[in-house]
Amino acid sequence: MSDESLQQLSALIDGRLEGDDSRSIIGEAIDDKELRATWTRYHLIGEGLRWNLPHAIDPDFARRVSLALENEPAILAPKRRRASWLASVVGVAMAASVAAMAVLIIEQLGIDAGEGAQQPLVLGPAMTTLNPLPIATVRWRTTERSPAPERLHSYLVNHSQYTSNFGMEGVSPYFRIVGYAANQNQ
Amino acid sequence: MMALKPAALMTCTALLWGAALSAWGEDSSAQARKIMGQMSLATKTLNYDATFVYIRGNNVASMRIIHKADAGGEHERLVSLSGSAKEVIRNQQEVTCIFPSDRAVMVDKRRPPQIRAGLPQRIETISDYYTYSVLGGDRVAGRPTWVVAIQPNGDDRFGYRLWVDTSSHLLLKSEVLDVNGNVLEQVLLTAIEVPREIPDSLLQASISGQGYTWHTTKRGSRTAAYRAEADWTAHWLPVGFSMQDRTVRAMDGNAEPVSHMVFSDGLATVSIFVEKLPPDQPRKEGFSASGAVHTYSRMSDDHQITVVGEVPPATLHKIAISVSARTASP
Repeated sequence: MSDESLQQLSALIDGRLEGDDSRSIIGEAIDDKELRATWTRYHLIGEGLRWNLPHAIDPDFARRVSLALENEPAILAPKRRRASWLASVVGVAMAASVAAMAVLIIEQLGIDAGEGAQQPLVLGPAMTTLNPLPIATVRWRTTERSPAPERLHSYLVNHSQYTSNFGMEGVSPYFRIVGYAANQNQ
Repeated sequence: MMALKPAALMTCTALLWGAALSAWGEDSSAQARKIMGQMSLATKTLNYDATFVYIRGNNVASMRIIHKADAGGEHERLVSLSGSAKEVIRNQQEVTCIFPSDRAVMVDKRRPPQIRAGLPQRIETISDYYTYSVLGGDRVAGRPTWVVAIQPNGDDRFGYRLWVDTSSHLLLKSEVLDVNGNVLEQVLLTAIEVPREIPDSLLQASISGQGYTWHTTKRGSRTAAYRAEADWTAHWLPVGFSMQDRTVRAMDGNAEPVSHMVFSDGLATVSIFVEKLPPDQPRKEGFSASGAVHTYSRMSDDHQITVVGEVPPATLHKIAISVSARTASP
């Protein structure tokens, strides 16, 4: 996967590539798994930068489309090869790195503030559902059996008032509340 | 300190210094206590403006702390520099937590400040539960520091290492360590100024909070009837822990007041929260952790007991299972 390929890929995604050039890079992508993964990432980054990321990303969607196409013999048969590579590109199982990048993008863009932030975000082949916590919530390593993070957070605020009076004196006891790390996927 | 079991020895550094310390162990302990006393005083009485990172496992957050001490007492503003711009502002009257992402402000009106024994006095009373030593010197935020180790005697508590500025006596780095010497969390200052004056503008919230949802917790919402009913007590605590406070307060999400008891051995603090859950709320029992703070919850009939503190989970568990309601007083 050369730099030139990457540039061509970028140009293709931006709609700046035509004719033979576009056919050539598409042909390359058909054979190059890495390039297909990059294609997915570029799209993801582009959508992220345009604030277009959906609340849920379903990596199985492409596979389902692909399967549907497989079972659609008549009409789509002539385009089957193209359709299947497209599907497989979109459906490249979301590698951990891609999933991580999506999370990164979402956080960097501060999408946490929108109403959509409370929607579950679905990532990864295992369809892990990440329910974004309110940002005020300290990130707890919780088990299913421990109380809701919001409640633990209230407890921590109350508890912190006393750590300054009775505990180790040094930096503000509230650093644990303010210092809640941005990433929520544990 | 050599009498401690190996697991309790905090680090290789401690081991290396151990040989040196055994020669002047007594002196080292006294010196460590002196440094901690100076640190405690400096933390409360100096003006400082510092940036620091809080490291917890793979998570890093950066913050700025502005502290001012004047005739009106202590004023402090803590601002998150990474992620959402959370702020905590506290003075003698109240603590205000601002959470921009949630468009929420939490204000907690504390009781008027009371004169309490400061750390220097407490250090002497807690030397039965911890061993102090000076590990040596280091450099943090470009400044020379002492490194003080506080090792728990036994497995019920965590240990600490403190890097204290040799000139200002402010704490520049701290670590909380579990019984195996693993670092649970660290606070590391990267830059610090100790200015003569701190303008009040630096202590103002950068967000007005207009249009935010305000949650105000006031004390004094307790009722005699509830207090009589909510007579909970812990029958086991590690040696040296004593009750520091007991309050009953309202909390969001539950119409029933929540009972809060605070215990401390002088360094570690443990809170016990007891609340009666509405019938439709799920019953939860289990552990959680955030850095050095651990929690354990269990149910006692329809009351949920949650113990929160900077102590090992096993200690919290033992405390939690010892909590029960005393017979309601007539």
